[in-house]
Amino acid sequence: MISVLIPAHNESGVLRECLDAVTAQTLPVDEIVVVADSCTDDTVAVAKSYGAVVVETEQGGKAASQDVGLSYVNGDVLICIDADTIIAVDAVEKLVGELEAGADATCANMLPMPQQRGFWVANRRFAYALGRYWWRWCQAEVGRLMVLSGCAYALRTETVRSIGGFPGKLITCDMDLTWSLYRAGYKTSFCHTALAYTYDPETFKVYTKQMRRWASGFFQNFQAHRGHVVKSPAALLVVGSLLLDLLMLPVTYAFVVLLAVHDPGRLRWLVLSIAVHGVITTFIASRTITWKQAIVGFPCYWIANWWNKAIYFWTFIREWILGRHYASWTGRQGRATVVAPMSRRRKIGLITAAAAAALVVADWHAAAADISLPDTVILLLAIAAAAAFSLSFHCTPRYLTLTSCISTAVAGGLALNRVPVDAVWWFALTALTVGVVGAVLAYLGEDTQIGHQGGAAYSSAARLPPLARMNAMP
Amino acid sequence: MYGHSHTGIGALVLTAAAAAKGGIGYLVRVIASSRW
Repeated sequence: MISVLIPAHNESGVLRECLDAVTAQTLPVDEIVVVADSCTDDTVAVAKSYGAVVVETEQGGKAASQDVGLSYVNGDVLICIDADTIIAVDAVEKLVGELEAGADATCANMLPMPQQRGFWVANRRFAYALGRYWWRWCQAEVGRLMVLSGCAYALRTETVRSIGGFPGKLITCDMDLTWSLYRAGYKTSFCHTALAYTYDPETFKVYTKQMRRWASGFFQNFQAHRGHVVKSPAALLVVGSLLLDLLMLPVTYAFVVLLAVHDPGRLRWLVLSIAVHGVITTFIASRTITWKQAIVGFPCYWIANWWNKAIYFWTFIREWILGRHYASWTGRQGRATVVAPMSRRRKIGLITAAAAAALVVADWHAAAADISLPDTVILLLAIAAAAAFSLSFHCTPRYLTLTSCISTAVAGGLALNRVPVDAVWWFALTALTVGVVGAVLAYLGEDTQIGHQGGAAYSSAARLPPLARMNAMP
Repeated sequence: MYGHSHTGIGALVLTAAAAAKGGIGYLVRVIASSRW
């Protein structure tokens, strides 16, 4: 028996076409369960008109809604679809075929809706088409598909029940589910023959917001499942290769700039490598989308890819270095964006690491420049402190205090290095001390600012469990 | 990104590993299915 589970929040505008596709499958589904989560539109009426089992709930999240719906599912095969997704007419047949062939869970290949146009959609269309016969194939081949695409995937009902339902603690629940399945010993596959069309972001703002969430989910996921990743060579390969490319980003930027400055003639090799990349990837993408879409899509994809990597790189710093986790995002539903503040322990660790690094550099600098070690240490400590604080600037509202303190510290440190020991030297030492102490106190103070919202709501809401917190936000 | 695509040395390593695994798997299937 095949069941389809669709979580929906005010999706009446798109749910009808989603259900049209579900009811027109070559392999008919036996049951449709729609979870109407906090709906204020006619989602319920639309779902009922298709004979779906409708569960009305107030969960405020996708995974929690799916969990509620799971208890209403009677089928042994479960197809999970987003309400803004249209599956191809044979998608269920293909997905079920994969499960019958031995996979514990499988997913369809996504594509943007055919009628969607624009730079960001062309980029996404190309990326999905390329992934179909390249990256996702590679991941599936080594046994660790990075993510069962949340918009359309299938698994046995018993499988998801055996891991305690749909995990919903992280910002991207589909990736969390995928890696929870790996941890439980289940195997996934990539059903590239099943296609699912979904609404992709059309503007820079919405695209960036989505990438920010995906990037945050990526790092949260591998922090949560790190125990499994380090034990599994396949997982290490899939996650490590992506991290390597990400961390190479600044190196690549530096390399291109240096090349342009010192030996512009060699930039032709860079252009040549981009051209080769373009020809190969355009050919691969053209197996899924039209030649025109592939040719137009490549430059969009190539440019957007740098933006994606920049977002991922910054998110890497925020999630893993600063420990500021993206807890809630502002989607179509209008939830507040919540980014958790840095812990005091993390701040102290960051200062200590910066100071230790400064000492090492100071020692090296003193030996190389033949100046006194204390002078160099003082100077570099001021600079390192400034760097550490700058890195954390994003997480505190005390901009004015921090700017004043850091400026004082840096000015004091610079003056110390340039004047003999006299009254001015003591003044500079005082400035450095006051600046550093002031900045540390401001830095270690309680954060009251959150993400893009005014901060007042956070301090009380943060103590609530995640779902209650989402509901409590304005 | 997010599992759909990435570029660089890591991507080449992943591609090589998948191709090697797929190639070995293919050879094993061919050998196993051959009538010697």
